[in-house]
Order: sequence, then structure tokens, then C-alpha cells
Amino acid sequence: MNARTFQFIPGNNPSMLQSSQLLGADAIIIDLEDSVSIDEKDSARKLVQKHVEELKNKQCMVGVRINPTDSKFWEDDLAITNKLNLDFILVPKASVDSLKQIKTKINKDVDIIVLIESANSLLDIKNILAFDQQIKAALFGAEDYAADMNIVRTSKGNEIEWARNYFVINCVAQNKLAIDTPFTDSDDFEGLRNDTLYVKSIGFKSRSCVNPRHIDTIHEVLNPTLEEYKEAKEIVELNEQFKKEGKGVFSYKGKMVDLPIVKRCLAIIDICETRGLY
Amino acid sequence: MTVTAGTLESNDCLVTIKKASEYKLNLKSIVIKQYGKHIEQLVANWAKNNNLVAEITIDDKGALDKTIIARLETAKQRMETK
Repeated sequence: MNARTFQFIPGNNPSMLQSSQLLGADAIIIDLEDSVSIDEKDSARKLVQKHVEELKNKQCMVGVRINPTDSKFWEDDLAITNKLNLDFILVPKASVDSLKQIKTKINKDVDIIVLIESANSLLDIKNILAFDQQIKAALFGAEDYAADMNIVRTSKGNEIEWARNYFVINCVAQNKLAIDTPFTDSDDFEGLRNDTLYVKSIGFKSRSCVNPRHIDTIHEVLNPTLEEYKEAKEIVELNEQFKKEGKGVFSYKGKMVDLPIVKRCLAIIDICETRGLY
Repeated sequence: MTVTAGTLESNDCLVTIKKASEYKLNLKSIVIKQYGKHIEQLVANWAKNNNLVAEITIDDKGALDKTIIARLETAKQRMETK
């Protein structure tokens, strides 16, 4: 799974569903949970079904956040989503127990993204990610995590620093995409840029958003630079040459290059070329 | 018995279905001139295909066909579970 941005779309909002493919996000998460009131779950389900069924020429990945397994809605949600051509299902309040239930009802061909949004789920993230191969990514839900911890969220994010680091380290260790929490101040673009630069520096490659105006800024920050792309290509070419000579390690601009570095360069090239960045 | 589904938000429609002895459509739409006939046909076909004899009222704020159908189907389901 490879996407820089995951944009949340309220599932009971026809206007947003219609325009969702044009927002520029790499993926959209159509929401049946928090943005849909209890009385309108049936309505949202039907609306999402009709809109996704008629989706042609998808411009981005499309997934649905279902309701949690401690609600009475999740099975009806899956009954609908299993019939749709979706790229992923986002499972809220993910735990090993909830995933056991989900696995009994979910389509085997769809990817699962787990939403880590409590102290318990964060501490058990290793087991959650390892639970099943269908799990391809994890999304850190900082707002619900902060509520669980009874702490105040700030734009600086000091209160979630440890949690973010622990989250992304576990994702990387199990080769799952780590998706950071949305930046909730709609108009603070400098704050968004700085916050995204920070999460990039600790290993995140992806971020969720609730405000489509944030997508471009997130992409600008998370995209490899032209210099990084050029350097990656040079390293990969050199690697091919040295491989023919039987060398697995070589020096590039005074630094040692071995297989992990080459893999990182290949990922950079893939991101740049599949997105047509340069 | 009367059930509703949908909203009056932009690109949505508010659908009301009331049990009746014959089919009737009350349509109000912000695009009635351009799409009135089309919506009337869409709803009539849907009602026929679903064997629904009822009085249907739609207050449309520019909903696409798939949105209108989704709201109709939700209203019908709500009627069946009431």
C-alpha cells in the first residue's frame, strides 16, 4: 500500500461523495462512523453503496471506515462493503479481539487498515499488526487517543510525540504503511507544514486529512525532492554496476551504500515515477 | 404511515413516502425546468420496479440520480421495518 494522503469523506454527504475523486488525495476514506449520526447509518450505507457502485475510472484508492465491533452497525456495514470494489476497509477501535470478529465477515480480497486510537491499542500495536496478512497499514487517531489519555491536544503535538514514534516504529518493523493523524487546525498551513515535516523526519510516509485544503501541502512535504530522486537513480545505477562485479557494498559521496539504502532508493524512484512528479 | 430519508443540503434531496391507494409524485426541485421530466420518469420507473404504490414527495436540491435512488431505497426500507 502506497499513498501519501487519506482524505476522510462523510458517508452521508452526497456533495462530498460526488467531488471526492477530484480532491487530489491519493486515497479517500468514506466514513460510516463518526461523521454519520446513529439515526442515519442506514441512509449513509445506501448512499455509499450507490455512489461506489457507479464509480468509473477511479482517480484514487477508495476505502470505507465501518463502525466498530462494539456497535450494532458493523455487520450491516460489511454486508454492503463486501459487494463493492473497494481498496481497503478502515477498522476503528482496532484490537486483536475486534479483528477476530471482523475476519469472520470481511471479504478476503480487501486490504485492512487498523485505526489505533487508544492507550491499549497503541501498546498492543505489535500484536494487532501481526494478526493477519490482510492488514496493510495503520492509522494513528490522535484525537481519540488523547481523549482516552485525558490529555489536551495541541498544534505543537508534544503530548503525542512518544505515541507517534512508538506507532511508526512498529509499523516500519512490520512493513506496514504508517498513516499519521489529521492536522485539525484548518487554517494554520504553516503549522501543518511544520507538523508534517516533523512526522516525515521520524518515518511517516503518509497522513490522513479531514480538510481537503491540506492535501497539496502534505504532498509537497512528503514527496521526495528532485535532488533525492536524482541521487536515488544514481545510486541504483551504481548498484547495478557493482553487482555485476560481485560487490554488495560500495561508497557513494563518502557514504557506505548497502542493500537497505538501495531499497530506500528504489522506493523513492517508485513514488516519483508512479506519481509523475519529475 | 409516513417515512423520510435524505436532507435539504446541496446535491441531496428529502424524500417522503406515504402509504396510498395509488402512485403519486409531488416534486419540487431547484432544477425542475432542466430535469423535472427526467426525475419524474426516474422515480416512476423505480416505484414500478419495486412494486411500490405510494405518495412520494421529493424536495430536490440538485441530487444526482444515484442519490435520489439511494434516498428512495432508504425510505422504502424504513417503511418496511416500521
